[in-house]
Amino acid sequence: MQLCAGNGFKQRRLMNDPQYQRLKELSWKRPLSPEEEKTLRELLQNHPEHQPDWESEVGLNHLLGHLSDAPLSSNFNAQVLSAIEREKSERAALRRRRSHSYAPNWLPRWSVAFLAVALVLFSVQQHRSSNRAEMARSVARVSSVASLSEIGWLKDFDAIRGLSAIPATDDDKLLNILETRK
Amino acid sequence: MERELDPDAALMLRVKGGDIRAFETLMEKYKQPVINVIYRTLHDVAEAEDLAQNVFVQVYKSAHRYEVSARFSTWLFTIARNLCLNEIRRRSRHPAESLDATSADGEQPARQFEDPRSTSAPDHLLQSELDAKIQEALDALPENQRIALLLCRQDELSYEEIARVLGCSLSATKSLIHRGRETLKERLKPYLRTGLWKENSA
Repeated sequence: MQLCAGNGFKQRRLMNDPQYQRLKELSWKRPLSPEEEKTLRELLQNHPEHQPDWESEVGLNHLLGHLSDAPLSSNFNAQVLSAIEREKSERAALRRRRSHSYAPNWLPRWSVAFLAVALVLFSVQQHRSSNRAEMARSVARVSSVASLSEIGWLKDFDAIRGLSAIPATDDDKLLNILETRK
Repeated sequence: MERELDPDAALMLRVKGGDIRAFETLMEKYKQPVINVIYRTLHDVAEAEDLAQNVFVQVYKSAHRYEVSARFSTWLFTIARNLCLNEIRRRSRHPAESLDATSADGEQPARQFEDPRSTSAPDHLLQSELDAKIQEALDALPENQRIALLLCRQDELSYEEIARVLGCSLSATKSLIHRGRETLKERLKPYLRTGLWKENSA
Protein backbone atom coordinates (compact mmCIF):
# COMPACT_ATOMS: atom_id res chain seq x y z
CA MET A 1 0.00 0.00 0.00
CA GLN A 2 2.77 2.34 1.03
CA LEU A 3 4.66 1.32 -2.09
CA CYS A 4 1.64 2.17 -4.22
CA ALA A 5 1.29 5.55 -2.55
CA GLY A 6 4.99 6.10 -3.10
CA ASN A 7 4.65 5.20 -6.77
CA GLY A 8 1.70 7.55 -7.16
CA PHE A 9 3.68 10.37 -5.63
CA LYS A 10 6.68 9.66 -7.88
CA GLN A 11 4.42 9.48 -10.95
CA ARG A 12 2.77 12.81 -10.12
CA ARG A 13 6.23 14.28 -9.57
CA LEU A 14 7.39 13.17 -13.00
CA MET A 15 4.15 14.31 -14.62
CA ASN A 16 4.75 17.73 -13.11
CA ASP A 17 8.40 17.69 -14.09
CA PRO A 18 8.64 20.60 -16.56
CA GLN A 19 11.30 18.83 -18.61
CA TYR A 20 9.22 15.66 -19.03
CA GLN A 21 6.15 17.77 -19.82
CA ARG A 22 8.10 19.76 -22.42
CA LEU A 23 9.34 16.57 -24.09
CA LYS A 24 5.83 15.16 -24.11
CA GLU A 25 4.45 18.32 -25.71
CA LEU A 26 7.21 18.26 -28.30
CA SER A 27 6.45 14.64 -29.12
CA TRP A 28 2.78 15.56 -29.75
CA LYS A 29 3.91 17.75 -32.62
CA ARG A 30 7.04 16.10 -34.05
CA PRO A 31 9.53 13.27 -33.48
CA LEU A 32 12.07 14.11 -30.80
CA SER A 33 15.60 15.05 -31.85
CA PRO A 34 18.46 12.71 -30.79
CA GLU A 35 19.37 15.20 -28.06
CA GLU A 36 15.82 15.23 -26.73
CA GLU A 37 15.66 11.42 -26.95
CA LYS A 38 18.76 11.21 -24.82
CA THR A 39 17.32 13.52 -22.17
CA LEU A 40 14.14 11.47 -22.14
CA ARG A 41 16.03 8.19 -21.76
CA GLU A 42 17.85 9.59 -18.76
CA LEU A 43 14.61 10.77 -17.23
CA LEU A 44 12.96 7.39 -17.72
CA GLN A 45 16.01 5.53 -16.39
CA ASN A 46 15.53 7.40 -13.12
CA HIS A 47 11.79 6.71 -13.22
CA PRO A 48 11.24 3.33 -14.93
CA GLU A 49 7.67 3.23 -13.60
CA HIS A 50 6.78 5.88 -16.17
CA GLN A 51 7.74 3.75 -19.11
CA PRO A 52 4.06 2.69 -19.69
CA ASP A 53 2.91 6.33 -19.70
CA TRP A 54 5.56 7.24 -22.23
CA GLU A 55 4.75 4.21 -24.37
CA SER A 56 1.08 5.09 -24.48
CA GLU A 57 2.07 8.62 -25.55
CA VAL A 58 4.24 7.24 -28.35
CA GLY A 59 1.48 4.79 -29.33
CA LEU A 60 -1.11 7.56 -29.61
CA ASN A 61 1.33 9.72 -31.56
CA HIS A 62 1.75 6.88 -34.04
CA LEU A 63 -2.00 6.27 -34.32
CA LEU A 64 -2.74 9.95 -34.93
CA GLY A 65 0.26 10.29 -37.22
CA HIS A 66 -0.96 7.43 -39.40
CA LEU A 67 -4.49 8.69 -39.82
CA SER A 68 -5.13 8.64 -43.53
CA ASP A 69 -5.62 11.87 -45.44
CA ALA A 70 -9.16 12.95 -46.21
CA PRO A 71 -10.18 12.24 -49.81
CA LEU A 72 -9.76 15.24 -52.03
CA SER A 73 -11.31 15.49 -55.48
CA SER A 74 -8.86 15.94 -58.32
CA ASN A 75 -10.52 19.14 -59.52
CA PHE A 76 -10.50 20.84 -56.12
CA ASN A 77 -8.49 23.86 -57.34
CA ALA A 78 -10.61 24.22 -60.46
CA GLN A 79 -13.79 24.14 -58.37
CA VAL A 80 -12.50 26.82 -56.01
CA LEU A 81 -11.43 29.04 -58.90
CA SER A 82 -14.76 28.59 -60.67
CA ALA A 83 -16.61 29.40 -57.42
CA ILE A 84 -14.54 32.59 -57.18
CA GLU A 85 -15.30 33.44 -60.82
CA ARG A 86 -18.98 32.72 -60.28
CA GLU A 87 -19.06 34.98 -57.27
CA LYS A 88 -17.22 37.72 -59.14
CA SER A 89 -19.65 37.60 -62.07
CA GLU A 90 -22.66 37.48 -59.72
CA ARG A 91 -21.35 40.55 -57.95
CA ALA A 92 -20.76 42.32 -61.26
CA ALA A 93 -24.26 41.39 -62.46
CA LEU A 94 -25.75 42.70 -59.24
CA ARG A 95 -23.84 45.95 -59.65
CA ARG A 96 -25.01 46.20 -63.27
CA ARG A 97 -28.59 45.49 -62.28
CA ARG A 98 -28.41 48.16 -59.63
CA SER A 99 -27.02 50.74 -62.05
CA HIS A 100 -29.65 49.85 -64.68
CA SER A 101 -32.52 49.85 -62.32
CA TYR A 102 -31.36 53.16 -60.86
CA ALA A 103 -33.81 55.31 -62.91
CA PRO A 104 -36.94 53.15 -62.51
CA ASN A 105 -36.24 52.76 -58.81
CA TRP A 106 -35.49 56.37 -58.37
CA LEU A 107 -38.28 57.82 -60.48
CA PRO A 108 -41.41 56.37 -58.82
CA ARG A 109 -40.06 57.23 -55.42
CA TRP A 110 -39.56 60.85 -56.44
CA SER A 111 -42.91 60.96 -58.23
CA VAL A 112 -44.71 59.73 -55.13
CA ALA A 113 -42.87 62.28 -53.02
CA PHE A 114 -43.68 65.03 -55.51
CA LEU A 115 -47.37 64.04 -55.58
CA ALA A 116 -47.52 63.99 -51.79
CA VAL A 117 -45.97 67.44 -51.56
CA ALA A 118 -48.31 68.78 -54.27
CA LEU A 119 -51.30 67.31 -52.46
CA VAL A 120 -50.26 68.92 -49.21
CA LEU A 121 -49.73 72.30 -50.90
CA PHE A 122 -53.08 72.03 -52.67
CA SER A 123 -54.85 71.21 -49.39
CA VAL A 124 -53.19 74.13 -47.65
CA GLN A 125 -54.18 76.39 -50.52
CA GLN A 126 -57.77 75.13 -50.44
CA HIS A 127 -57.96 75.59 -46.70
CA ARG A 128 -56.64 79.12 -46.96
CA SER A 129 -59.03 80.10 -49.75
CA SER A 130 -62.04 78.61 -47.94
CA ASN A 131 -61.00 80.56 -44.84
CA ARG A 132 -60.79 83.70 -46.92
CA ALA A 133 -64.23 83.10 -48.46
CA GLU A 134 -65.71 82.50 -45.03
CA MET A 135 -64.14 85.69 -43.77
CA ALA A 136 -65.47 87.61 -46.79
CA ARG A 137 -68.96 86.25 -46.13
CA SER A 138 -68.75 87.35 -42.50
CA VAL A 139 -67.56 90.82 -43.48
CA ALA A 140 -70.38 91.08 -46.00
CA ARG A 141 -72.93 90.14 -43.33
CA VAL A 142 -71.55 92.73 -40.95
CA SER A 143 -71.45 95.41 -43.64
CA SER A 144 -75.11 94.79 -44.62
CA VAL A 145 -76.17 95.24 -40.99
CA ALA A 146 -74.12 98.42 -40.75
CA SER A 147 -75.84 99.89 -43.82
CA LEU A 148 -79.44 99.46 -42.46
CA SER A 149 -79.75 103.02 -41.13
CA GLU A 150 -77.82 105.95 -40.04
CA ILE A 151 -76.20 105.97 -36.71
CA GLY A 152 -78.34 109.05 -35.69
CA TRP A 153 -81.37 107.04 -34.70
CA LEU A 154 -79.41 105.61 -31.81
CA LYS A 155 -79.70 108.94 -29.90
CA ASP A 156 -83.43 108.15 -29.22
CA PHE A 157 -82.57 104.54 -28.42
CA ASP A 158 -83.41 104.84 -24.71
CA ALA A 159 -86.73 106.52 -25.39
CA ILE A 160 -87.69 103.91 -27.92
CA ARG A 161 -86.61 101.14 -25.57
CA GLY A 162 -88.75 102.75 -22.83
CA LEU A 163 -91.82 102.54 -25.08
CA SER A 164 -92.11 98.85 -24.46
CA ALA A 165 -92.55 99.57 -20.73
CA ILE A 166 -95.67 101.72 -21.32
CA PRO A 167 -98.93 99.78 -20.65
CA ALA A 168 -101.15 98.91 -23.62
CA THR A 169 -103.95 101.25 -22.43
CA ASP A 170 -101.56 104.19 -22.76
CA ASP A 171 -100.87 103.09 -26.29
CA ASP A 172 -104.57 103.24 -27.07
CA LYS A 173 -104.85 106.72 -25.56
CA LEU A 174 -101.88 107.90 -27.59
CA LEU A 175 -103.41 106.44 -30.72
CA ASN A 176 -106.71 108.27 -30.05
CA ILE A 177 -104.91 111.55 -29.54
CA LEU A 178 -102.98 111.12 -32.78
CA GLU A 179 -106.19 110.30 -34.65
CA THR A 180 -108.07 113.34 -33.28
CA ARG A 181 -105.16 115.55 -34.36
CA LYS A 182 -105.51 114.34 -37.87
CA MET B 1 15.56 44.85 -36.55
CA GLU B 2 13.16 44.04 -39.38
CA ARG B 3 11.06 40.92 -38.81
CA GLU B 4 11.35 38.26 -41.46
CA LEU B 5 8.16 37.98 -43.51
CA ASP B 6 6.38 34.62 -43.46
CA PRO B 7 6.65 33.30 -47.07
CA ASP B 8 2.94 32.45 -47.05
CA ALA B 9 2.14 35.97 -45.90
CA ALA B 10 4.27 37.28 -48.77
CA LEU B 11 2.21 35.14 -51.16
CA MET B 12 -0.96 36.42 -49.57
CA LEU B 13 0.16 40.00 -50.11
CA ARG B 14 0.53 39.11 -53.78
CA VAL B 15 -2.99 37.65 -53.74
CA LYS B 16 -4.14 40.94 -52.23
CA GLY B 17 -2.66 42.60 -55.31
CA GLY B 18 -4.75 40.29 -57.54
CA ASP B 19 -2.13 37.59 -58.28
CA ILE B 20 -4.17 34.42 -58.87
CA ARG B 21 -1.01 32.28 -59.30
CA ALA B 22 0.06 33.13 -55.74
CA PHE B 23 -3.41 32.10 -54.58
CA GLU B 24 -3.11 28.77 -56.38
CA THR B 25 0.29 28.17 -54.76
CA LEU B 26 -1.19 28.73 -51.31
CA MET B 27 -4.18 26.54 -52.11
CA GLU B 28 -1.95 23.75 -53.37
CA LYS B 29 0.09 23.86 -50.17
CA TYR B 30 -2.79 24.00 -47.71
CA LYS B 31 -5.73 22.19 -49.30
CA GLN B 32 -4.86 18.79 -47.81
CA PRO B 33 -4.14 20.00 -44.25
CA VAL B 34 -7.32 22.11 -44.30
CA ILE B 35 -9.56 19.33 -45.59
CA ASN B 36 -7.98 16.88 -43.11
CA VAL B 37 -8.89 19.09 -40.16
CA ILE B 38 -12.40 19.70 -41.51
CA TYR B 39 -13.00 16.05 -42.38
CA ARG B 40 -11.80 14.81 -38.98
CA THR B 41 -13.95 17.44 -37.30
CA LEU B 42 -17.18 16.83 -39.25
CA HIS B 43 -16.60 13.28 -40.45
CA ASP B 44 -18.39 13.87 -43.75
CA VAL B 45 -16.41 13.63 -46.99
CA ALA B 46 -18.69 15.76 -49.16
CA GLU B 47 -19.25 18.38 -46.50
CA ALA B 48 -15.50 18.54 -45.80
CA GLU B 49 -14.76 19.16 -49.48
CA ASP B 50 -17.43 21.86 -49.75
CA LEU B 51 -16.25 23.58 -46.58
CA ALA B 52 -12.59 23.37 -47.60
CA GLN B 53 -13.47 25.00 -50.92
CA ASN B 54 -15.43 27.63 -49.05
CA VAL B 55 -12.38 28.30 -46.83
CA PHE B 56 -10.29 29.16 -49.90
CA VAL B 57 -13.08 31.23 -51.46
CA GLN B 58 -13.26 33.18 -48.18
CA VAL B 59 -9.48 33.61 -48.21
CA TYR B 60 -9.64 35.07 -51.72
CA LYS B 61 -12.63 37.27 -50.94
CA SER B 62 -11.04 38.62 -47.75
CA ALA B 63 -7.61 39.11 -49.33
CA HIS B 64 -8.15 42.87 -49.58
CA ARG B 65 -8.57 43.01 -45.79
CA TYR B 66 -5.53 40.81 -45.06
CA GLU B 67 -2.91 42.36 -42.76
CA VAL B 68 0.35 40.66 -41.87
CA SER B 69 -0.31 40.58 -38.14
CA ALA B 70 0.07 36.81 -37.76
CA ARG B 71 1.20 33.87 -39.83
CA PHE B 72 -0.97 33.06 -42.81
CA SER B 73 -1.64 29.52 -41.56
CA THR B 74 -3.08 30.89 -38.31
CA TRP B 75 -5.50 33.04 -40.29
CA LEU B 76 -6.37 30.18 -42.64
CA PHE B 77 -7.09 27.67 -39.88
CA THR B 78 -9.11 30.27 -37.98
CA ILE B 79 -11.39 30.57 -41.03
CA ALA B 80 -11.55 26.76 -41.27
CA ARG B 81 -12.39 26.41 -37.58
CA ASN B 82 -15.11 29.08 -37.75
CA LEU B 83 -16.72 27.41 -40.76
CA CYS B 84 -16.60 24.03 -38.97
CA LEU B 85 -18.24 25.47 -35.87
CA ASN B 86 -20.92 27.14 -38.01
CA GLU B 87 -21.59 23.81 -39.69
CA ILE B 88 -21.77 21.98 -36.35
CA ARG B 89 -24.24 24.60 -35.10
CA ARG B 90 -26.25 24.39 -38.31
CA ARG B 91 -26.37 20.59 -38.01
CA SER B 92 -27.56 20.76 -34.44
CA ARG B 93 -30.36 23.12 -35.53
CA HIS B 94 -31.32 21.24 -38.71
CA PRO B 95 -30.19 17.64 -38.51
CA ALA B 96 -30.40 16.23 -42.07
CA GLU B 97 -29.25 13.35 -44.20
CA SER B 98 -26.12 13.84 -46.26
CA LEU B 99 -26.90 14.95 -49.81
CA ASP B 100 -24.37 12.43 -51.03
CA ALA B 101 -26.28 9.50 -49.62
CA THR B 102 -27.56 7.09 -52.25
CA SER B 103 -30.98 8.22 -53.43
CA ALA B 104 -34.12 6.14 -53.05
CA ASP B 105 -34.23 5.22 -56.73
CA GLY B 106 -30.80 3.67 -56.41
CA GLU B 107 -28.91 6.33 -58.38
CA GLN B 108 -25.32 6.99 -57.45
CA PRO B 109 -24.47 10.25 -55.66
CA ALA B 110 -23.20 13.12 -57.84
CA ARG B 111 -19.80 13.25 -56.20
CA GLN B 112 -17.74 10.12 -55.90
CA PHE B 113 -14.60 9.42 -53.99
CA GLU B 114 -12.59 6.29 -54.23
CA ASP B 115 -13.28 3.89 -51.38
CA PRO B 116 -9.91 2.38 -50.45
CA ARG B 117 -11.57 -0.58 -48.74
CA SER B 118 -13.11 -1.79 -51.99
CA THR B 119 -9.82 -2.33 -53.78
CA SER B 120 -7.22 -2.77 -51.09
CA ALA B 121 -5.21 -5.54 -49.61
CA PRO B 122 -5.98 -6.88 -46.08
CA ASP B 123 -3.44 -4.59 -44.39
CA HIS B 124 -5.18 -1.64 -45.98
CA LEU B 125 -8.46 -2.97 -44.61
CA LEU B 126 -6.90 -3.16 -41.18
CA GLN B 127 -5.68 0.41 -41.54
CA SER B 128 -9.12 1.66 -42.51
CA GLU B 129 -10.69 -0.17 -39.58
CA LEU B 130 -8.16 1.39 -37.26
CA ASP B 131 -8.88 4.72 -38.92
CA ALA B 132 -12.57 4.24 -38.21
CA LYS B 133 -11.86 3.47 -34.54
CA ILE B 134 -9.68 6.56 -34.17
CA GLN B 135 -12.33 8.63 -35.93
CA GLU B 136 -14.96 7.22 -33.59
CA ALA B 137 -12.84 8.19 -30.58
CA LEU B 138 -12.24 11.65 -32.06
CA ASP B 139 -15.96 12.14 -32.73
CA ALA B 140 -16.70 11.42 -29.08
CA LEU B 141 -14.46 14.30 -27.95
CA PRO B 142 -15.90 17.75 -27.23
CA GLU B 143 -15.42 19.86 -30.38
CA ASN B 144 -12.84 22.20 -28.80
CA GLN B 145 -10.63 19.29 -27.72
CA ARG B 146 -11.06 17.62 -31.11
CA ILE B 147 -10.10 20.75 -33.07
CA ALA B 148 -7.17 21.44 -30.71
CA LEU B 149 -5.87 17.90 -31.21
CA LEU B 150 -6.25 18.09 -34.99
CA LEU B 151 -4.51 21.46 -35.17
CA CYS B 152 -1.75 20.05 -33.00
CA ARG B 153 -0.99 17.60 -35.82
CA GLN B 154 -0.30 20.48 -38.21
CA ASP B 155 3.44 21.00 -38.46
CA GLU B 156 3.07 24.63 -39.47
CA LEU B 157 1.21 25.63 -36.31
CA SER B 158 3.01 26.23 -33.03
CA TYR B 159 1.14 25.95 -29.72
CA GLU B 160 0.90 29.75 -29.60
CA GLU B 161 -0.68 29.77 -33.04
CA ILE B 162 -3.10 26.99 -32.13
CA ALA B 163 -4.09 29.10 -29.12
CA ARG B 164 -4.75 32.02 -31.48
CA VAL B 165 -6.89 29.89 -33.78
CA LEU B 166 -8.89 28.59 -30.83
CA GLY B 167 -9.08 32.02 -29.26
CA CYS B 168 -7.85 30.87 -25.85
CA SER B 169 -4.71 31.09 -23.74
CA LEU B 170 -1.63 28.93 -24.30
CA SER B 171 -2.15 27.02 -21.05
CA ALA B 172 -5.84 26.44 -21.84
CA THR B 173 -4.85 25.14 -25.28
CA LYS B 174 -2.30 22.70 -23.86
CA SER B 175 -4.84 21.59 -21.30
CA LEU B 176 -7.42 20.94 -24.06
CA ILE B 177 -4.88 18.85 -25.98
CA HIS B 178 -3.80 16.97 -22.86
CA ARG B 179 -7.37 16.13 -21.85
CA GLY B 180 -8.25 15.11 -25.40
CA ARG B 181 -5.23 12.83 -25.58
CA GLU B 182 -6.01 11.25 -22.20
CA THR B 183 -9.54 10.43 -23.40
CA LEU B 184 -8.21 9.03 -26.68
CA LYS B 185 -5.65 6.89 -24.83
CA GLU B 186 -8.46 5.51 -22.70
CA ARG B 187 -10.72 4.77 -25.67
CA LEU B 188 -7.97 3.36 -27.88
CA LYS B 189 -6.33 1.35 -25.11
CA PRO B 190 -6.78 -2.02 -26.87
CA TYR B 191 -4.97 -0.73 -29.95
CA LEU B 192 -2.19 0.86 -27.91
CA ARG B 193 -1.76 -2.35 -25.89
CA THR B 194 -1.67 -4.75 -28.82
CA GLY B 195 0.87 -2.55 -30.51
CA LEU B 196 -1.28 -2.48 -33.65
CA TRP B 197 0.20 0.92 -34.40
CA LYS B 198 3.68 -0.66 -34.39
CA GLU B 199 2.66 -3.20 -37.03
CA ASN B 200 1.06 -0.54 -39.19
CA SER B 201 3.89 1.91 -38.89
CA ALA B 202 6.49 -0.70 -39.65
